[in-house]
Amino acid sequence: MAATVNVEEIMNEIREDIQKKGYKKDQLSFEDFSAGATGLTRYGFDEKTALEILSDASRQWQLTSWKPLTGGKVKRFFKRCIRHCAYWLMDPVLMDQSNFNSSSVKMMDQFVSYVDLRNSETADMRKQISELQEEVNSLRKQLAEKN
Amino acid sequence: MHIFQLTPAISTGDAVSNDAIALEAVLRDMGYTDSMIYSPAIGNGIPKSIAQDTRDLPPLSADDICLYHLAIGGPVNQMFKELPCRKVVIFHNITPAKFFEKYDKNSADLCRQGLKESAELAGVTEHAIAISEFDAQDLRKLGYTCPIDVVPILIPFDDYAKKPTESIAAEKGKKTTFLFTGRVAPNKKQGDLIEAFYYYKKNYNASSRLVIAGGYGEQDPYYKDLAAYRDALGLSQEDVKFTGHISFADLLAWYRCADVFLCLSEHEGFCVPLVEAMYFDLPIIAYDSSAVGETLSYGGLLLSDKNPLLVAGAMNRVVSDPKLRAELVANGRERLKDFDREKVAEKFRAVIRKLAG
Repeated sequence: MAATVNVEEIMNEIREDIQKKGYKKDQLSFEDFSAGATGLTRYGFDEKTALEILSDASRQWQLTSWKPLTGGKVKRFFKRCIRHCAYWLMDPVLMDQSNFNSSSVKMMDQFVSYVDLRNSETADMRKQISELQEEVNSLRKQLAEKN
Repeated sequence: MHIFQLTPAISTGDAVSNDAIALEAVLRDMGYTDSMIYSPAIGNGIPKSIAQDTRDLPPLSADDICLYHLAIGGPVNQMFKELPCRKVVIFHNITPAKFFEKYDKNSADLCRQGLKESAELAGVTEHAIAISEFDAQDLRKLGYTCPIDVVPILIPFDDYAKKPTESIAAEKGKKTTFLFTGRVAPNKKQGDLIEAFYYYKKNYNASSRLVIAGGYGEQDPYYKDLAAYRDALGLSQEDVKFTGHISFADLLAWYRCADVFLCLSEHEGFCVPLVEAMYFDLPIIAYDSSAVGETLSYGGLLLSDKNPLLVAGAMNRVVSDPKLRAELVANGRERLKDFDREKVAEKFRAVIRKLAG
């Protein structure tokens, strides 16, 4: 004969105990942890996401040291002086970075095109496999009927 | 009239395969001595006397019966559909694709495909066997209007009396051990186990560990996330132990060594490990989802809320309250009787007799 265990009563007691002792969650849940801080999808390729990222990168690759100066007249004057003093150092570095960014975006574009190509080939192969499978099934049927 | 079984794959240690092998023994005892399991993918260690390749399927007649273990999408579903014999589906359920979307798009696609193909088989299936009422309801939702009998998975309890690995069994009592058995898969929510264990260890008992006994791939994204999460929580590899795929003797030893069986899975077609835990007199704490509540029933502590602080509190309560512990173990023993091999075998025999007329 099974003993009756009052689960609700037990869980209420546990809740009270947790509250009394002040136990709190102090860590991310597994779901939140595995989502990642950046929200990147680490697993699985999604074409739409890839194209969106590529489109963003295509607009953002080029860097420049020039930014509109804000603030009052005096502030803008000092900022202009600082910019004039620093451009000889910053601009070559930014140019190198922009060149690297340009290559990276081109490479991303290549990868997306590669995926497109493979998808197309895979679709063709799947179609061929399906046709061959139908043929095999039909031949099996014919053989079974002959026997 | 011949009866045979068909499975997408058959290997040792797999719940679907084990069920097929157990049912095969019952069929042969009933007099269907030429019965066989056919599969296109036969794993190592499965003798030819039990399973053969689908290419060796003999010519079938219209009154032969095929019992098909439906558990996933794939070409075998189509093969079953086109067989020129009577068709019976043994439904083990198909994990919803949503659990795999983040980690394994291929598996997600297979699951989606499996559900679609399962629905397509409704029109050709004469009779269905569901391993739980939960699965029977899913079959009805898929459009099955044929008679459906619920026959739980046939578990060979005699095997559990075999010798366990001594070195593991000898660890009993050294640390409070929580055990979950089952392959590392997103629907089984091992991440939630780790989270709950973290709070148990922190708030109640530092001398404890969680053992996750089940296969995984080192490069499996879900496993990598679990391991990273364990590390991020400051838990060691001994605090949360992933055994990987283990021998049967090791599995027996872990059951004997553990203090509590803990399951927070969110999708199970039956959940054989719950019954195994009952057999080994382990008090069980489980989250009430899918078929878990049905299989466990009153045999353990069934939670409707898996807030990790609450689960940790429940873990502590079961470990530290001898009266509750004894009640849960006694209830497990009582519930276990419903899965007695002969009882389940007779349910299966009744279905076969019905089909044979």
